[in-house]
Amino acid sequence: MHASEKLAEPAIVDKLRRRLGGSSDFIVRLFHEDAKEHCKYAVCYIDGLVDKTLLAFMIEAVAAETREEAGKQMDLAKSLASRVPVGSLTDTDSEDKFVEAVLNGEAVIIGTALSGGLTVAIPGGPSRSVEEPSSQTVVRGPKDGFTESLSDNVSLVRRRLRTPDLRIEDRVFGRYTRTKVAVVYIEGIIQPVILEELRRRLDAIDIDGILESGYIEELIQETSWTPFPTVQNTERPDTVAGHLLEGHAAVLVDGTPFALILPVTFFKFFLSSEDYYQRHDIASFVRIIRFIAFFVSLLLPSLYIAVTTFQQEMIPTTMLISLAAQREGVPLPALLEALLMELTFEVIREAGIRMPRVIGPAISIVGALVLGQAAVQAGLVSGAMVIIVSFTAIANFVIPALGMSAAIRIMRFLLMALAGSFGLFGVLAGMIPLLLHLVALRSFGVPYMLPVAPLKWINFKDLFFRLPWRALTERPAVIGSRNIRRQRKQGPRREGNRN
Amino acid sequence: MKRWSRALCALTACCLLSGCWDRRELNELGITAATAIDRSGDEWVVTYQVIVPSAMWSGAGGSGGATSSSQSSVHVFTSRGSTIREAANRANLEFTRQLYFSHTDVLVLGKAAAQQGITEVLDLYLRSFDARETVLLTVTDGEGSKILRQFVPPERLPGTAIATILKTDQETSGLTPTVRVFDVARSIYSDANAILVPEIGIRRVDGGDPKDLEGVDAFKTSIVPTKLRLLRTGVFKGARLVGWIGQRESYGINWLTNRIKNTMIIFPCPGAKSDKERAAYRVRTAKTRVAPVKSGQSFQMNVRVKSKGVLIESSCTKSLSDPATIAAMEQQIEKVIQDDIRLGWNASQQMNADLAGFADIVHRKYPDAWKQMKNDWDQRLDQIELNVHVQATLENTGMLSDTVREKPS
Repeated sequence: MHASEKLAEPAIVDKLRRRLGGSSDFIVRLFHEDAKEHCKYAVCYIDGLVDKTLLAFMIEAVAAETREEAGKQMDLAKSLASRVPVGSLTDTDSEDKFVEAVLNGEAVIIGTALSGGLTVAIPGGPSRSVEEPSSQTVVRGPKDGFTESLSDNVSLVRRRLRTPDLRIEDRVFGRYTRTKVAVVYIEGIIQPVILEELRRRLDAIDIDGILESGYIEELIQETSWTPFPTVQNTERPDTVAGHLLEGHAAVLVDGTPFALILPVTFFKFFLSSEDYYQRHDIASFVRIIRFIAFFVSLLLPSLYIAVTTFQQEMIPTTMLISLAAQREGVPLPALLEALLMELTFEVIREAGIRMPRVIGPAISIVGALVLGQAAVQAGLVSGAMVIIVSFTAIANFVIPALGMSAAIRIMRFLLMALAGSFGLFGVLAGMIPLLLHLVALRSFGVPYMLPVAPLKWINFKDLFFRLPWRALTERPAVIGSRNIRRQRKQGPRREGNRN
Repeated sequence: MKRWSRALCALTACCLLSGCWDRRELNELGITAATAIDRSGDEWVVTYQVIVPSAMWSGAGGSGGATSSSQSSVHVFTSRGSTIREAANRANLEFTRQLYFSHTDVLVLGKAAAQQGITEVLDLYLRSFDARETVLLTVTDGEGSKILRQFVPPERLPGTAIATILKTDQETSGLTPTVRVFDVARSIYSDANAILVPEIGIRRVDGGDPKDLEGVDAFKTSIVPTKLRLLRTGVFKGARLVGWIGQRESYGINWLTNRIKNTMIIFPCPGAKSDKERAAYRVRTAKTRVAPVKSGQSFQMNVRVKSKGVLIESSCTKSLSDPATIAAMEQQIEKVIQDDIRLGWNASQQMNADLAGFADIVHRKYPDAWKQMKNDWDQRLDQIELNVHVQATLENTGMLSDTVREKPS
């Protein structure tokens, strides 16, 4: 445009530029009536944080305003409001607010004629479209998952809960990241105590950066000294909506598709949103399978070690003979054999997550053939141990929540060591403190083992089994006991019901 | 933090120092499938039948394939000692693995050991952790060690096979009693103080040599020259073997003692013209109740037997669709059972052993009278009268009503 002639800018623009250290993505566009004249308006924004299309509309509006403005003394705000098709307009005057606005993806319009400036919210920039969640897939159920954009995520939840009682509280965390965080809950269902406690813990956060919801999870959880997650995370908006209806709160964090759900109890980690979409009998069966898988995943290797090295009399004779035959010539004691195989599996697992997709098949071949079959044929491990370890590993994947299955993996190693030292007695000596620990845990004041300890019979309707929806007339106790009824007492009336 | 690290150190030390002391890997165990106890002079002679796992399971390791046909699945050896445990300890002078008795299925008593008394054996089995009192007991007319050397084709584990034979007999025909070590121990402390123990022996087929069954070659032929078989029944008074009774007699006693669960009864057809006309009745459920009635200085035992079953074989000429025939058949069955019971009881009287366990029943019902009689109870057995009442029900005649036969010409 006017590269040769340095035009006078409003002083505030210069200040802003200095605040941002002359960063190259800070763009200033100047508008004047003609070349000689002083700058009339300046539009500042950060490239990449604003939506290009909306920006074009806005700049056109400002340019038109500049041209037509001669003679008319109309308010820029009113004029723009009529011209710019989208974005909320705010009058601002302090420098700090300008900076904040610019960094929030707003465009700032500064006019020499104006006392302050106007900010126009036209956030944009690169974002992912809504896709199927990668970590929590379902066969039946909605396929949309959260994205990295907070506003998209909030809209995904809002679309499921079109009630005026859905409350979204925005907060900003991170001295440098200025990450937007939204606390979502349903007024009238959530227990105010829990909400207050959540707000109190969020207020205490003072950190330079929040890059993922995991930061907040760790900062607000009850204690860090437990492997068990006391806050649940999910990629699924329907899971969030379902929990909100049961009186939980959710924390959505900008920049990550993982939302936090709290408070959460131990048994919640074994439920999947799909349980509520499937027929109740099938869902109940699947739940039982999950609980069995939990015990298998936690106890199978340690029980195997205990029984084969200490309590052989517990194995039926024919099985004992077959196990003994497989152990003929195996050089390692059962404990080391199991630890070796478990560690191998953990390594393969970790490698499988990190490696590029292209190498995937190679790893599975190495894992399955070399480490499984070849190890048995070489006589390094017994065939039964390979079966035990693989079944344990598969059972571990049945548990829907990754945080819980990771906790179980760690506990499994402890129990294996105890089983290798003390046999079944050791397994028991490990399980009792584990149970004590679980009973002592709390999540936002709610006992971790809630429906079981303390006992709340009403919650058993939707715990190990899911009763048909007609029977689930109440919200689970304690968490949602403020507004207990979720269906009419009789349940929805059936057409053609015999009376 | 310091406290935590100290606690952690203590825990780790617990695991590392005290742990594993009684650890036994599976490949260090000599799993014993059967034990035989004999007596030779002043010493106990104990024979072990130890399983060779790698021969049992053909898929083991890389050696895989059909190892099972060339390798013996059990290893039998003997050790001696002044006590049974001493003998077991000495076994490790010649055997690489720790003998492990938890999975022993059967205990074979040699005749000499059984006649001398087995209280030591009972004590051992009740006292030790790994030897179980649920082990099945058999006695043999000779040396027990010889029984253990015999294979029972097609089963690969002879010890387990003997136990299976005993259990199958108990469940399907009830000819011999199934006795655990625990039962013998209980009988010693009971009032009757007598028990039956099945005899296992080697039956020669066509004059075969028992040695033929000792090797792996036993699996290579379809007919074997000798077989292990349940023969008579040994009568134990106290912990001593005092004599033998036959299978029919022990069958009768099994009826008396309510041990029959499932058995078969062959009976002559009602109104049979020849011996050929017989039928078989399969007992599905049976129940025996014994009630003593005091009569003077002696007792009358009221034995009530109820049995239900079906007809499984028949060569009777009368039409089975006639309810009168069925009723007549039921009477025949009742008579056969009654005869069996009497046969068993006579044998018991002859042995002067209260094999039916009447002493305990009398003790419970007439405690005062029992006090006077308990010293010469075995002599009083002769005076006991048996009052047997059998009620047999023939529930159905199978899928056929009348007997298959040629057209009368």
